[in-house]
Parts: sequence; structure tokens; C-alpha cells
Amino acid sequence: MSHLELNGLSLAYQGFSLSVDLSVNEGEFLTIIGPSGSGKSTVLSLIAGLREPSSGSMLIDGKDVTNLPAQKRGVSLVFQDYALFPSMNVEGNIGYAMKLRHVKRQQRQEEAKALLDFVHLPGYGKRKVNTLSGGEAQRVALARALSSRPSILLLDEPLSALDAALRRQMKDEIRRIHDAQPGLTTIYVTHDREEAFSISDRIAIMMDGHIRMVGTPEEVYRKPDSLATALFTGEGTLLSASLFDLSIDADQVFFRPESVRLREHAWSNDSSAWLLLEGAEVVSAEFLGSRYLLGLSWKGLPLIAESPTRPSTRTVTASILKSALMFFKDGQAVNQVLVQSRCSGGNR
Amino acid sequence: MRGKDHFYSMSALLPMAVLLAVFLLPLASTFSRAFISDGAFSLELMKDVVSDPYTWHLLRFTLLESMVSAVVSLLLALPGAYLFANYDFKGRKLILSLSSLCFVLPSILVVLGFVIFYGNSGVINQVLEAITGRESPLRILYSFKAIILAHAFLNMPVALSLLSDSWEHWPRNTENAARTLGARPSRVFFNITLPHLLPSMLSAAMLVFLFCFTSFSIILVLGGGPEYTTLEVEIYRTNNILLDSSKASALAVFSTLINLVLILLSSLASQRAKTQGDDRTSRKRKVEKTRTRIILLVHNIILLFFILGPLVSIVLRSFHSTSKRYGEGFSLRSYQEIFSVVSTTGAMSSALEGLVNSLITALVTALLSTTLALLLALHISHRKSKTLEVIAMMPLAVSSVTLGLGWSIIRSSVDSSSLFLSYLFVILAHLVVALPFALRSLLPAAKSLDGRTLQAAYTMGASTGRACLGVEVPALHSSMAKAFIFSFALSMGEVNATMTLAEGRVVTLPILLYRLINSYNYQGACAVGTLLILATLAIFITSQVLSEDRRTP
Repeated sequence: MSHLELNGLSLAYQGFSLSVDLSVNEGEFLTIIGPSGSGKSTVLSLIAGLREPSSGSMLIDGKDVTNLPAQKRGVSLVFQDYALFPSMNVEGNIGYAMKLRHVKRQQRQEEAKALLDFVHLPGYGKRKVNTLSGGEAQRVALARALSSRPSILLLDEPLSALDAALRRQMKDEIRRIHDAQPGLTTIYVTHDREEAFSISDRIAIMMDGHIRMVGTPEEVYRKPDSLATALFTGEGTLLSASLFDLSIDADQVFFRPESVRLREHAWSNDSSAWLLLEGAEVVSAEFLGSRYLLGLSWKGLPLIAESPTRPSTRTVTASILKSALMFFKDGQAVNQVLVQSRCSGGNR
Repeated sequence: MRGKDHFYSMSALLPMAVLLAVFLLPLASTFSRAFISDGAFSLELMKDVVSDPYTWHLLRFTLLESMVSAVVSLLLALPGAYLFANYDFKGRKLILSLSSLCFVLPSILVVLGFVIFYGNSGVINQVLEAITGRESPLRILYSFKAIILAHAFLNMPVALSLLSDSWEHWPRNTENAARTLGARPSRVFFNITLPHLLPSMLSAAMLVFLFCFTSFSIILVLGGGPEYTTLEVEIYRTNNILLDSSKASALAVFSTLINLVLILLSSLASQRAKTQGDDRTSRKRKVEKTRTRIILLVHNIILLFFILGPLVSIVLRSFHSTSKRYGEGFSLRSYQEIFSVVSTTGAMSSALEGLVNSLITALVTALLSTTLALLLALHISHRKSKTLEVIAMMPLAVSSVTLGLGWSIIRSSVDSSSLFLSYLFVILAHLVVALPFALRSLLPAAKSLDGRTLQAAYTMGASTGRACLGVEVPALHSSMAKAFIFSFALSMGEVNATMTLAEGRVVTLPILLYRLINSYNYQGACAVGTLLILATLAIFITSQVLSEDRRTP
């Protein structure tokens, strides 16, 4: 049985309608990604009970909690701007949930101290919250969210206010915190797909108020079930299927830059595994450190490719791994793999 | 840029001289009257004042009345602040601007509105009589209640706008965090919301307290007797009725010192009221629940009833005659008297003259104060002169009754019956009241002027003066208009300094209003009041339109 289940949980406001079906397992780390305005944060508000759905239901451990107020759900939320209580010090913030549950002062202090140690902020108890740096405030917000011993932890773009180095560090920290709490279900919202790939067990792609696909990071990147998901989860080249002599009923072909190899001369003997696009012109070469990102022009169409070296000639042959080609018809994935050797790049 | 510094210093010389003249001159004359007797320095007068138990009684009452007014204004503003900060609904902006209209109303008009609305045969008592069937009216006027009520009417909007502003721009997240941690709504309010609002509440209360401490015409008329007299009213009474300007001056010195201490305390307290949150964020929501809709409706109807009630009563009463001589019921007589269609005696005979006088003084005052404030603002912003800024704001720390007293002492020592001089004194008395407000309207805009546009003008060959007139001044147009309107409105409604100055020959509308109320000619007072309402409304609407235009600075 899944730990959290959203069944057609809907909300309509100001010309935007949201409707979500989602099921999350106990102990799972699920990330919701999507463009801004897709309704990610609203889903968290609904799960936390901060907004009332217009229809649908929500179950935790099989129990209907749709009409339960926020304070009775056992769901903690870490806000994008941390939302620490300015009128209390760090210890007061972390001890607040326990105070509401009439935990004795001394025990509160001990627990707060333990939580501060856990988030690597020992001795911060008496600090005022407005003296904390972004990363410190984030850790305090995490400790506070954990203090109510939630079964579900919600994180709303918690890293968006931090700089790049701190983001990586805090990302690992968040995953560590999740792993250290057995049974804790975490739902993480971000618009950064690399962050999502590296931290999640599963990823839910959200667009225009609906969840388009749920899968492991590998699945949503390599086997997206729609073109929109493919385009959102990473870069690539989209070509019309009519350019090729395909045996597959699809209207569009898509491939990632890393599925492309460049050769200066065509190899005729490996055409069974590769789709060859001859006479591609190198338009741009962007150095990314570990590799080059190349912009090519083939028959006037733009292609994106990766290469470990800078091409030495202006004209190259782009070979694309056939098994990495993705086919779409009307925006939906066509689940077929191209194996026939008949497919070719046209005028050779 | 030595030439530039020179230019802005020179251009500020005249306004500085005027500022010192209109402020220091009356203040000095009050102080010298208080400290010099028989041609020598003496502390006798001050000693008399400080050792008189009546002075301390006055101080106690003034403090009490200000404190109660502040607390009542704040409490009345709280429900509205909550609703206006949290909900978006039709008419929200209109009601907010209507309530801020109260604040710009001349206080004598509020007095009149209260007399008509809350009087023994006023609207409130008629409503009560219709409901309960009791014949004996509820006596509201001429009591402590009336003073507090009138102060709340004038100041509740200030508290409302300060509070709802700081509330509206505070994101909900902090409160939501408390909810997800298990706090019930009441707990969230007391643990999270209230601590956030406390500094704004304190600073709003302090502001109202200071306004009420130097309140004058409301106490004078609505207090209705020596039992409810404040320091300001006592200064006026001592000078203008007991004709003892020396004792009045000593009292004024005492009052000014107390006022300064209070201002110092409040500025210390309001330093904590930092605005948290972001002006761009808003926590307003569409109203969804029927219950909220009903609460909003009831609140707004009550609010509008008490805000508009007194004003509408004035307008209606101006068409209603209770005179046995001219017949009861609908009548245009007072308007005919104002515009001399029918002849009349008494105060009403100078109504048209009062209207003309008010317009002339307001126009001249507004022109002068805007020009002077502009020059001062440019100087302060270019030279970053903190000192001048403080000096220019100093008239705010001295009550207008005290300044009026100073002018009346100077006036009595000038032995001339020139009509021009009479106007000059009234205008100077108004100018010192208006100038700090005009400067406050201009200074933020002048400070935020982009210095690079000026530098661009210099590189294109414009002289300092040319660049100032061609680049800076046009960029300040809308703020100048605001300063002008603000000064105009203040002068139109000025009572305190004008009455204390007692320049018998220049009768302005507010003074006329006071005389008419005192002679129980309510229809006449209401007709004059209606003119004043129309003028205020016109000024108010213009300023609202201007502030709409100024969205993008």
C-alpha cells in the first residue's frame, strides 16, 4: 500500500486548473519538477492542508485526510524562504512544535540540541534567526520541520536562494537527512532537473496543473512518454520523421546530444547500429569543460551534438545511436525501437 | 563639481532664511514673552506655571485623552486592517481612500459633522429613538466620549492604513509553517502574527498619540468646558480670552518641552518598526466563503456609515431650516446668504468674503511652500544635509497653537492697520504649518532622483542651473503637485494657528465655521461646511489621481 495517495485532487483558481493523481511509497524520495507556474508548490500546499481542494481526495496510509486541517496531518513543509519565526531564537523555532504538544522545557531543549547536531549546527540554539546565513537558515528550517516527527516531509524549492556551491552541499545533506529517518517520505519540489536527477528515487513531471509522467530519473530522461517530457528533462534535437525512411508510425524523431558521434568520413559498415546524417555543417562549438556542445546544420535543420574534441573539419557526418532514438506521434511516445538497417539519412 | 555645490547652496539660502523667519521668529517671541518680564530675564513665569497644580492637571488630562484616543483608534482599526490585508474584494481601494479622506478633513469640519451627526437631535439619536422608542436622547457631545470619538474618526484611518500595509506585504509562509507544525489558528495569531504586527501597532499608536496631544478645535468645541481642557486649548484660552499672553507663553513653552520629549520617545520606539516583507508580495486572496463575505459586508457598511454619516449629515442639514422666522423644512436660505442673494446679519454676512479669503491664502501659501520646499529638497538631496532636514522638520515638533501665539505677539507689537499686513500674518502662520508637509512630499522623490541624468546633461554642455530647471525640476513635477495640494488643503482647513493669531480682519472659512457653530446657526455652518467639503473633496480627488499616475517613478 502506498503511503500517500492523491486521487484527482483538484483546485481551480484564476483561470488555472490543477488536478493531480499521485501515489508515493513509504520511505520514498519523490521529486516534482516542472516549469514555473505549473502548480508544483500548489500541490505541496494541498498536501500540507494549507489550501482546500475543490474536489478529489487524499489518503495517508489508506486513511482519508482530505478534510483534516493542516495542524493534524503530520505533514511538515520547508518553505522556499525558510519562514523562520523572527520573534523566536533558533531553539524556539525548533522547539515550537514540541511546545504545542506540551513537551517539557528541558526535553525540548535536549531535542532541539540533538536536531541541531543532526543538521550540523551545534551550539546555534541561542542565535537569533536574523543572524543566520542562507545555508544556516535552511538547516534550521529542516530541523524545525523534522521536530514534529512528520511521516511526510515536503520541501518547496529549498535550495533556490543558495549559491551554486552551497546548493550541491545542501542537496547531499537533504538526501542524508532523508536516509537517516527510516520510513520518512519526502516530496521535493524544484525546477532544476539536474538537482532532481541526482537526489530522487522517482521523479514526477508536472505541467499545466497535471502530472505528465512519474518514473525513475533514468526513465524520465531516456524513455519519456511524451515529447513535452522529453523536451523538459533535457536537451536534444527534434526532427520530422518524414526525413527518414522509417518503418515506424511516428511523426517526430528526438535524440539527446550524447547519442551523436561525429566522424569526418562515413563508415559504411556500422550503419546497422547508427543512423548516419552526412554532410552536417559545424555552426558552433561551445566548450563545457569536459566536452564540447556542438551546433550543427544538416539540410538546413539544427542539430545538437556532444563531442570530446573540437571538430577539425567544417563538414562532418553525424552518427546517431539508433537505440537512443525516441519516436513520437502527436506528441506521445511510440514505444518501438528502430533495428532495421533500411533507415538512412536520405540522399547518399 | 564645486560649481554645482555652489549653485545648490545659493538657491537654498532664500528658503532657509524664510524657514528660519517663519519658524524661529514666532517661537522666539513666545519664548521671550515667557522668560522676560519687566525687561529682564526671569524664570518667575515658568515657575508659576510649573508650580501650579492646574498645569499638571491639564497635562494629566492631555496625556490621558491622547492615550485613550490612540488605543481606541488602534482597536477600531484592527478588524479593518485584518480584512483589508487579507482579502481582495470589489470596492477595497475605494473604501481605503475614503477612510484616508477623514485624515485630510479640516478638524473643524469634523467638529461640525459630529455636532450634527451625534447631537441630541442628530442622526444617531433619531436612529436610537426609532429603535428603542425612548424619548430622552443619548448625550454624546460635550463629553470625554465625544473627544475620543472625534479623535478616533480622524485617526483610525491612519492606523488602518499603517497596519493593513505592513500586514498585507507580509507573506503567509511564517504562519503556514506554524500551522504545519501543529498550531491552531488562535495559537498562530498569538505566537506568530501578533509579534509581527506589534511594532507597527506601537508606531501607529505613537503617531495617533502625538496628533491627539496637540489636538485643538475638537477639544475646544466638543470638550465643552474646563473639565475637559488640554494644554493647547488652555494656551489659546489664556491668550485670547483671558488676554494674558505672558502666561500663555509660559504654558506654551511648557507644552513644547513635553511635546519634544514625547516625539523623542516615539521616534525611539518607531525605530523598531522596520517593515519586513516585500512591497511586491501580497497576501490578499479572493473571498470564497459566504461567512467572510457577510463579515466584510457588515464591517464595510458600519465603517462607511460612521465615516460618511457626519459628512452627509452636514450636506443634508445645509438644506434644512429649523428657523421659525424663515419657515421649517427644505430651504436654500443659507446658500443665498453666502452668495449675498438675500441680505443677512451676523457671521453669515462675511461668508463670501471668507470663501475668497480662504482661497487666496491657500493659493499663496501653497505656492510659497511648494517653491521653498522644492529648493530645500534639492539642497538637502545634493548636499546630503541631515542638519537642514532636521531643521526643516522642526515646525512639526511645535504645536500650531504655539506658533500662532508667537505670531499674535509679533502682530500686537507691529503698530499698523495695513490690510496687506493682516493677510501677510495669516499667510506666514499657514506657511510654517504647511512647509514641513510640503517638504515631506518632495524630499523622497528628490532623494531618489538619478544623479546620472544630471551628469548626462552636464556632458551635453548644460550649465548647473540649466540642468536643474530642465532635467531635475520636470522629474519632480508630480511630487511638486502633491506638495502643492497638501499645502493648499492644510491652509484651507487651518484653525489652530489662525484662531490663536486672532487676526480679526482676515476671516477664513474654518474661522467662520467656528463662529457659526458657536452662535448655533447650524444651517449656515453646514452650508459653509458643505463648501469646505467640496473644496477638500476636489483636492483629495486630484491628489488620488496624481498618486495613481506616479506608479512608475
